[in-house]
Amino acid sequence: MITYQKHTLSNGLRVVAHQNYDTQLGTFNLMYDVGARDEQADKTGFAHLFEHLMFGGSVNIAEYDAVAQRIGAENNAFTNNDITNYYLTFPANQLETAFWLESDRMLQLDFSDRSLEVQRAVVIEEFKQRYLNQPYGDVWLKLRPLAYTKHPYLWATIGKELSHIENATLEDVKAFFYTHYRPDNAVLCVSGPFEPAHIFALTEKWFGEIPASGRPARKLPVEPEQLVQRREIVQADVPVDALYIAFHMPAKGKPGYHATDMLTDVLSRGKSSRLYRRLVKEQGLFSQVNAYITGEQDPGLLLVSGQLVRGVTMADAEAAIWTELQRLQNELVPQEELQKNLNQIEASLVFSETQGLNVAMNLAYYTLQGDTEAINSDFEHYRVLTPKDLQAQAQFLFQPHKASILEYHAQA
Amino acid sequence: MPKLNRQQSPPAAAFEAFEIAQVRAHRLEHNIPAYTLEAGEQAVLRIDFVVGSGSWDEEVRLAASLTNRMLQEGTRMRSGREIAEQLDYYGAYLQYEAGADRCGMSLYTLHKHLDAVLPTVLELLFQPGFPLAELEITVRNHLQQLEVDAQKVSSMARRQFMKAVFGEEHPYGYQTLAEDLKAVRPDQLARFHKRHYTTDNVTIVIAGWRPEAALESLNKALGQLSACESNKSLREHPVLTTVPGRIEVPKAGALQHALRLGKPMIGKTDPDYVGLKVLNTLLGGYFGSRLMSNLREDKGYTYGVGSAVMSYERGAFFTIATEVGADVSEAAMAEIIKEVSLLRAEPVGQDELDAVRSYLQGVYLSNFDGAFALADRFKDVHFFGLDYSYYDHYISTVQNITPEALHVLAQKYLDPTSFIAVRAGS
Repeated sequence: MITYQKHTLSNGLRVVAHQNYDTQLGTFNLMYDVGARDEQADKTGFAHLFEHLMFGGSVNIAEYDAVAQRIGAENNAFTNNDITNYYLTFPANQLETAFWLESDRMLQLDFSDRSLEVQRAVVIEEFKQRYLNQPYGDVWLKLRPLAYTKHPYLWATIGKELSHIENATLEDVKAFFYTHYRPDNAVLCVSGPFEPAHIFALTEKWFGEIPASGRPARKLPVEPEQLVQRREIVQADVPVDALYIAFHMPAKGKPGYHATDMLTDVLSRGKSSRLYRRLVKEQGLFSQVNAYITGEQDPGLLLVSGQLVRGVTMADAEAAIWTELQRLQNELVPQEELQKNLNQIEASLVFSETQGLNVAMNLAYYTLQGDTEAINSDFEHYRVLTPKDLQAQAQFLFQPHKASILEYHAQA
Repeated sequence: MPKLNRQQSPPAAAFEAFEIAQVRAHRLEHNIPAYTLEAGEQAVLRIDFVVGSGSWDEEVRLAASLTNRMLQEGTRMRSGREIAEQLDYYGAYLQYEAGADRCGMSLYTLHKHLDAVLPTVLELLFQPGFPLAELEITVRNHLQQLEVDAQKVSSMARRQFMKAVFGEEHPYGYQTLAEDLKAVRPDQLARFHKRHYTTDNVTIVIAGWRPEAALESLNKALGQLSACESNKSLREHPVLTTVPGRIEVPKAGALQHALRLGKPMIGKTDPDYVGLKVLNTLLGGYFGSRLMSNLREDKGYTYGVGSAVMSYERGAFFTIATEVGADVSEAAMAEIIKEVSLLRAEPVGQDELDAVRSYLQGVYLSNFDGAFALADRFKDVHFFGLDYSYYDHYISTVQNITPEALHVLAQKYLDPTSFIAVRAGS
């Protein structure tokens, strides 16, 4: 059970204070409600590029990292399709400097051509290192535009192509900043040995004067229901074949979300899971196989993916996966198997609570979604699931005409 | 309310010394040493079972790592499937570790399920069955993974680098070969297990909520087993004389090249080691380091570059690693050499050193945050024959080392002409 207190500033900044006297560290997590889904289709990868620029200095602080290091902080950030998140952990007695650092770059970034030029180059190298120069690294670059036709989830956070990053201008940077990096689009969570009243006072002091943006509500195109199966066949310089099957699923926290998540646990969590037992161990079709969800704020994807054992045909491998999916549709998951998955979920929840940064990030995330208390009530959504719920959800999800399939073939 | 002065940093707080929470030592059934660390409010435990042997001690290539990997694939009494069912049912998670000096596994479990899972964990640790069919599946899948890794420039560079530093026959330098994997037989693993997974060669570290409650559970489960003695022949592995110089590992069409530079280095028990750690941080050990500032933040050659000093029990190495654009790899290599040479040419500035001190002091605090971190810090010294006084030496070196002392260390240990420099992808 996580306890916390909340406060909202008049400029719209939401603050969550998580008191924890079990540590000598402070954690400062500032989450902005902006991600790759907010980009224009011809300027993709921008939210992530912008995250890099946030380290290029702000109006009163020339070097963000130099100050962070001076207080002994470890800091980083990440961007995904929904959000951009910045976080620091530091000795608790340095708390106010964290407020100074983060409020200054929300107040006004130091827009510099030099920083843009360098970070464009850095992000292009990141693009190559993680997506283009790795075996199977470009899978998401291919899968997203296969599974989506309208919704901006059709591009990956890193961007559709290198040229979008190469063409980013300083005007784009400024417009993006003043639209999205404002207090009413952000949630701050501070965790550590601090009184909540002290956190709220410091937030008023450092963030109170930053004006709101009044950004209008998102109007993203809704992904139309998929009516026909899609399939893409790729030949690449990889040693073994791989197969990826994507299904559309409910948005995070919406009806059906928890059942979908649990179905992937039944399929592939742990060495006793169905896909691992049957397809890796018993049938020897895959060397590794996995089922997982993207868990996004708009309707996301459930993925079943695996690398084939050499000599196994793509058709046999795919048929075996469909057999397991159909089993979920035709037979009830035994109560004991359900209990096993529930126990696994409980264990990972409790373990994640041992990490202050995890707690702060989750509190910020749930608050951004509009329900902070979900951090405590989420487990209940799993606990009440019945075998019939899982069966109904499997019948809804795993329909052949709703699948997007990527066959990734090793070049002969 | 007075206007906020944003130009000025809030008053800097000094680093506050703190008492390190130390382990409590115990003896279990069969005289097995156990150490407990109590911290945290969540009712969880991590129990490390550390076996004091590794690939250093193997007579057959890969016996140590495959023995470790096969523990979960079935015992003399039960199949791997039954074991997985039981551990998964209680939400318990096992992490396996097979290194050159030590191997073993860590159990992560909710406190309330401890008694339900411990007998199974001890069964697979002490009584594995090494079923042939499971070994074949494991080897087949491992072979495919090896092929995938072989396509990554970072793996290509790392393998070549480690071979060059220690020699490819040396346990620290050896890199898994497909032919060695294919040759392993169950009886070789059973033999390694019998000699090394013994009650006199295991140490148990328990960290988390009420760890001492686990002692009784462990004793009960250990009481079911009979004591066994290890049979370790004292193996010697001389390091071949490292030959400095450039090694190219070709790969057609690579968009980036992976670079690895470095050499054998002094280890953790050497008095110069901590000073070298400080020097390394300044060179490439944190975001504000010279290498990061130059290669990433100034030139945009790379997404990241880092350096490290890594110590085994009987050897150590220094390494600089990065992946850079294919068109700039030669320039990046030159900049790396330039930065290392600069450390040798003149002492570092006081401001720069102060920044490193502050950073390392903050990280030092977080290195002791939470039960699992505390357990890791204990293991970091205990298995090297050191004790907690290492950390006094560590923090006082961080706080007091001078630019002149770092200059001496750079000259003594970081001569770039003594480096092995690997480039993969060209």
